[in-house]
Amino acid sequence: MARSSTENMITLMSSDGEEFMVTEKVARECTTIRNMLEDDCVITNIPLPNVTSDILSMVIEYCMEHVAAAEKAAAETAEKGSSSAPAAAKANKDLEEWDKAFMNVDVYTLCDLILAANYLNVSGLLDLTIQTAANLIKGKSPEQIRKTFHIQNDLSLEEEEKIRSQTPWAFEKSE
Amino acid sequence: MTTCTPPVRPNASQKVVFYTGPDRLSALPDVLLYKILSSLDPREVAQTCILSKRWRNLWTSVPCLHFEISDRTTTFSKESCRRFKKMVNAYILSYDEAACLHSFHLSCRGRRYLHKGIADAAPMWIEQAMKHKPNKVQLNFSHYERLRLPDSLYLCSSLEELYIIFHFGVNTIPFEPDEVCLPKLKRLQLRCTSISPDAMKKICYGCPMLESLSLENCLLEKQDVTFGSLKSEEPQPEILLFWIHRFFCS
Repeated sequence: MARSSTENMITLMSSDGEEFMVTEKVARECTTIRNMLEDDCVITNIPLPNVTSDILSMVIEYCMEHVAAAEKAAAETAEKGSSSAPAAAKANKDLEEWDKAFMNVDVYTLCDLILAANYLNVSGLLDLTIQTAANLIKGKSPEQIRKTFHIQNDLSLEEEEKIRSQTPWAFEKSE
Repeated sequence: MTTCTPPVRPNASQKVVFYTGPDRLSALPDVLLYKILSSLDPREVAQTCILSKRWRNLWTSVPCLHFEISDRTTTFSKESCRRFKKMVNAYILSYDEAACLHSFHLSCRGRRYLHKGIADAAPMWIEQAMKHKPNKVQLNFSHYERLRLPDSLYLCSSLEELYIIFHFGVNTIPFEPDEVCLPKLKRLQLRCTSISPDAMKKICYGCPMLESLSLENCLLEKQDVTFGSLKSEEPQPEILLFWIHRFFCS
């Protein structure tokens, strides 16, 4: 994963013991790791007991893509003296498309990514995953939401009726 | 985004730390579920109460509340106004007393329905919201002279951002708080309101942390308005449009 040998490499270790070598720049996309590096700059091996290797590899993929996009934008700005608006807009759109494709995951992975993004404090990824989850809820009936996320309804019929009768306005159909 | 720490709720299902079932969503901590719910329509948020026991009370402590109605939408009708009023009333009164409200946004646009009671109810909604010590309040209203915003809006110890935005027409709703004491307020935006020098003074002295003040289409009364380095001498009442950053004088 190293782009140049002069860059500091950091090893991230997942909960299941897999090691991922990333550049310091990519690792710094995770605010949690950035804070660790700032507290102790010689640190090169970081165990992440809350993140599995599947999820960690996805988080790293996201960070690498976003670091690469930022570097490309910076390089273009340096080359031309100023960034051209249409080029920047296109780059943004490309990254958005990439994000969208990246979010093509099942709900289990999505929820794990939310947890990991929160734990590692990757704000862009957290916003993206939260919004994706919200979009999966939007416009759905409670029954459809349960189905989508495999939510077990542990309310008895009586309980559910009681709650509905306490909040009738929430279930009013629009005309 | 800052998020308030949710109150610990006496709900047994939330104490499950290592959830092994297939329902990963419900296993997320409250604070993350609040983030997800915060971008949904309040009615949709409330509907989650019947998903399962885990979800039963979550909707009553979502830290971002956004109520919006506009006569520009295609679904607007007398009936949609009635439903809106009922929903905001019920939601606000059901909101968990111990919950910490981060942001409250109430947007009522369009003339017609304001006469149908929304403007009468709005001060009570705002009053209720202020009890939960929000950090950010945004109010959008159409021009309507009967609207009087509650005093509690100007006496909130937690408020950092306040946006009072009137639409349609200029200045007939005066900004006239009895007292202003907003010790944490950093941003204040007022639009389409008339402001007396006295009210200006109250803002200056009542908001010691103010960093940004935005007045847009506001009518300042005839007298000179002097505060800090800004001196505006308008011979006539006049519509002023200006942005001032870090204007405050001690």
